[in-house]
Amino acid sequence: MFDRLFKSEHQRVAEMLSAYLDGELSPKEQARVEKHLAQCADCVQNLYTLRQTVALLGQLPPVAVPRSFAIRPTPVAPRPGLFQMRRTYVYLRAATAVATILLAVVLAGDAFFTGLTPYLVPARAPEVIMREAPVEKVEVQTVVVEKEVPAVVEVEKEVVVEKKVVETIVVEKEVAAEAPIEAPVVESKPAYSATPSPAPAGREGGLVLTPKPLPTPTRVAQGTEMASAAVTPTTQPADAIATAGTVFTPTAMPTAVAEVLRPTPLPQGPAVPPADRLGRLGLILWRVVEAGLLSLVLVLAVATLVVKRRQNIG
Amino acid sequence: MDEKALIDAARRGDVGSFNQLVLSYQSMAYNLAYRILGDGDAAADATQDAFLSAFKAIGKFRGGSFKAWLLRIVTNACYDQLRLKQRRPATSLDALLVLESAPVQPLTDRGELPEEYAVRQELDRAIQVGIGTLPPEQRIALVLSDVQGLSYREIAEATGASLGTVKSRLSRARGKLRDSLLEQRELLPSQYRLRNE
Repeated sequence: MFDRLFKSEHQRVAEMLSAYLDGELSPKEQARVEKHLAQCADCVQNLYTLRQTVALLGQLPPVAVPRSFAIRPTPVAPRPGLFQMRRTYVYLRAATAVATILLAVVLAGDAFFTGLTPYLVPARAPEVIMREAPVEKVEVQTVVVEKEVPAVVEVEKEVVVEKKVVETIVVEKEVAAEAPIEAPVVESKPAYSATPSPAPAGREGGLVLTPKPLPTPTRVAQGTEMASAAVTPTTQPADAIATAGTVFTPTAMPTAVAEVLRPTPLPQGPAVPPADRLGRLGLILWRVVEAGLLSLVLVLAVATLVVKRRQNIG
Repeated sequence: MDEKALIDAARRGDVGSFNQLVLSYQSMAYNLAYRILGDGDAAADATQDAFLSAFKAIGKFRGGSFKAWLLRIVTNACYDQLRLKQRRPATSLDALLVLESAPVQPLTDRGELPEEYAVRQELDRAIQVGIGTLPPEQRIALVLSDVQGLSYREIAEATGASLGTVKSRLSRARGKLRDSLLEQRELLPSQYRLRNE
């Protein structure tokens, strides 16, 4: 009991020794410490070593200041030009962004209208179409043959492209009906012959191709069937599909091409219609705008970078 | 110009007047930072940061002891440096102290012999190792009191702690440093060894 009290008093006094050294105790506390010191050798010892420690700390020589810590006005008060430069930078950055967006819009518009131009301008030399059509057709066939049945979506996509070509050709045909027949455009090869057949289920007005020397066209015909079938569910009317089927097939088979396009004439020196001329003018204007915008974007971007660099240096 | 006039001028944005205050206090600020951080470079960074902060905040100085106000800013800058060091510990604290305290040149008496200088260096290293083992609050209280010679009241003002807290922090810090020096007793020159009575 007394031991515990004594210990607690010892601890308390031990904690007060530091303040006792500095004379920071109240007279009552000071008397209490001195009373305890008179009967506790440990505390006397503690007080002695503490005093030595404080004395050693006090003997530490001050270290030399390595440099002046005087402040320069620049980091605190920013130069007046810097604020303006920051504002210029913000404006320039915004202008660059706006110009870039405009350029993107103009480019997108260009891509969109240029993509549509062949369909918007009706009068094109039939030879061009004749050459283009088989190339596209061959691509379609390759895709169909390679991917077989599972790639239905792909097939549909390709068919849409074909449909456009087909429509163009149909237009040619209508124009040709009025014009006198001069000469067949494409020389037919007698290697294949197209024979009309009774339309099987799921196919309307298609041509069944009977290859004479080579068995490969059967596969092509399958592909064509698939293509025709894919065309059917679209908004195309039934007769249009029939026409499409008829025109569509020959692209794979030169014989069929000859058969269908036989009435197509070669327009003698096709004159550029005024609509086309306007379109070309618009296209040139559009390109000029594009070039101008591109230059603007480049100039703005360079100016922004220069201002930013100057600001960082400042 | 007296200190109050310099402070008033500095509050109006006069950098020259503030720099006169810097000249008066930079040794105290750097020494405090050096003893708290145990590293010359970190101490220089803390001191520079402290003076910049002081100039920016001098408008908020509401009178009283400018020294205590400035010391508070220096101790805060030291806390920042300690946090930075904790985030990027280069090596152990003891090794850091030994390695990095070496380039700092203590001010020496002109008549001091090389042997005496070496002995002082040894004591300096031992004390710095001991301070380095203390928690930041105790370190600051110990340095402010026993190296800088501030009163309890000034320490309370500079650290924002109560008098009672300052007392207990200082008591613990001194006790731990004493133990550290007793542990290193054999390494210290005889005149600086802690002895029993």
